[in-house]
Amino acid sequence: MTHWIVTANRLSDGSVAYLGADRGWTSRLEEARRWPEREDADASLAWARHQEHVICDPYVFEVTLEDGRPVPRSARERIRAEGPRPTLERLGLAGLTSHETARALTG
Amino acid sequence: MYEYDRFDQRLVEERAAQFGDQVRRRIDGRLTEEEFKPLRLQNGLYMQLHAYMMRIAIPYGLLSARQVRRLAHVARAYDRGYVHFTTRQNVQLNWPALEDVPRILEELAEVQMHAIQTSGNCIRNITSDPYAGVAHDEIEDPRPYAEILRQWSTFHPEFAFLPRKFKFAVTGAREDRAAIAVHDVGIRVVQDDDGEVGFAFYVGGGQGRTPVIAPCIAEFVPKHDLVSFSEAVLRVYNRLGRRDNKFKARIKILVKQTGADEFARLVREEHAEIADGPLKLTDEDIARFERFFRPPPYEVLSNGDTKVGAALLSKDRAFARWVGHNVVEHRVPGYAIVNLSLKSADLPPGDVTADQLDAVADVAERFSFGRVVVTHRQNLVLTDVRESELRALFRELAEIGFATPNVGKLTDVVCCPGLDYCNLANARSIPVAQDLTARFADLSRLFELGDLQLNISGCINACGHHHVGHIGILGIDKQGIEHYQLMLGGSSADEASLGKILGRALTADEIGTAVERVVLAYLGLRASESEPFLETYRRLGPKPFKEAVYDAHQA
Repeated sequence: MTHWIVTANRLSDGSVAYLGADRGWTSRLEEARRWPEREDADASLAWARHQEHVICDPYVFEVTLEDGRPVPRSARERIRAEGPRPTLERLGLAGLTSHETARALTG
Repeated sequence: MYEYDRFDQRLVEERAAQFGDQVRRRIDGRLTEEEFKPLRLQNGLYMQLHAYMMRIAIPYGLLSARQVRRLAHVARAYDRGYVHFTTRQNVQLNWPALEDVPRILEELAEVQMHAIQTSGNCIRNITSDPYAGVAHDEIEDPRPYAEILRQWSTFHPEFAFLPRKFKFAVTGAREDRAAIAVHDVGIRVVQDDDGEVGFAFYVGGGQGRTPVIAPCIAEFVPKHDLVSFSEAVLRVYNRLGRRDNKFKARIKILVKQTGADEFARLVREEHAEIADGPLKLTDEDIARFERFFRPPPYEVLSNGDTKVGAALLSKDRAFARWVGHNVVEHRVPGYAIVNLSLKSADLPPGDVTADQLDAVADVAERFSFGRVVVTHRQNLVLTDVRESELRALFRELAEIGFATPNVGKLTDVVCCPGLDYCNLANARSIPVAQDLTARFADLSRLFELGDLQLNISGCINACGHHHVGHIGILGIDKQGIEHYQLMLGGSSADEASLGKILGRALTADEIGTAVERVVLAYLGLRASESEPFLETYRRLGPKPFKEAVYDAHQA
């Protein structure tokens, strides 16, 4: 089943951010708010566009739910969620969850 | 090496201060992202998948040891301890925080470096032959001319907003090591029948979505007209290049649609208007720039001092292999050009750690007059090493991981950052490079293949120059799954050619095996052990390779 998520990059360091349930920004894909209808996600995207003091260039992407967890349809969004493999290997972070990865990469 | 005068120095310092103000205004909300984006791009600052990326210019790839050390410091202090050398002889930081970028620019300005015009629709870094100034086949050192073009194009008010980005490459050698055929403008130093030196202009080449080998639009432009002729080319492009469609805005499309002969006529017409104006170079102008690139104080070494032959016969096989594959003839007797391979199993192609940078600066000072050159194949070069010191240098390079004897071989992979980093990419390229590096790690097997260039790009923009790899790999996205197109027969050298797609796109699991099958087919098909892959492919065409890859996959 398709859901929609709003994402952007943080202004401070460019790291990946997802719009969360409380209209805060989170680095964890699992904490991102998911909309079953694209129109609802677009409405939140319009709100996100006014958050330029925190983030840049927000947009909406598509996920499917597998065991209740969001899985991006595109390779691009999967890699955004997981972090770059070369850096993860260099930093000894390969194999961590996306949450642990995001925490490590965003310091 | 060119040394900044007070005008250059003030320019880069003011630019850092100006960007510092722009960053402050973006952070405190006085600038929107829409307003800020073109400003950050003019300072080489991109937004990538996971972070900002900052591209720093290295004019014609030439660095001093002091600059290399500063890059190491910047990588440690402001990034994650490594940098990435690109296919345009530039260097990139992958993790700078926005508020640190002005300070990085200040630190770079202190060592005469900057990020000006490393992005945007302007004239980008002028690239050149990595062996410039020391190549045995050189007519003239191209670096004084590259520097003249750099100064002419920096902040040129007429060319700040071209239809698209614009890339120059200049070579002074008979063999093209600067890939001039696939640049917007490729300039080759030539000599006419009377011995007069001038330039051949190749215009409208490029890779990306529409790969084109540049036609020659002027076989001999007098050296005094270098700038005025370049200005004429840019003016015609700026006036007639398409601005309505980003994908048709590069000069290659204009030259194709206009026709090379008509385009050349338009340039000559424009040039006639400005040839005798202030852009005409005088002998004094040229001599002033040449003084910056005078040869270092070489010792006079007799031919009897030559050690390369002896090294090749050395019982130390590792040293002999390294000399055979990574060391190149120098124009001065007793000296050698040494390639440092940045291609190993440990790091992605072109990545160098801060510790390695410090070590490179150290060996450059002790073995090569303190100079380092970045190549468009993402390696480094020490241009002036005494042959008698090759063995000592080899030992030191081996300790820092830069002595892999694979320059020009299959594992000397050229590779863009791909979807691990890049906002434009469709597929990862680094894991493919690492997989193939591991598959061909056995040196005996690697050497058996001879010269074989592998280039990988993560998208059609072709930063990994896949169109001109003997074997090229292009990452594409098929319904959310990374796939790879395999192409064969490209080359950016003399008699440049564009690779042709072999067949259907392959999955990430298939591409490594497919390359192995191409290589095995080549070993069976080559006319002799000395026939390189490219010659075999050109002689036989794609059919036997296609059968080797796809029939085997189906079986």
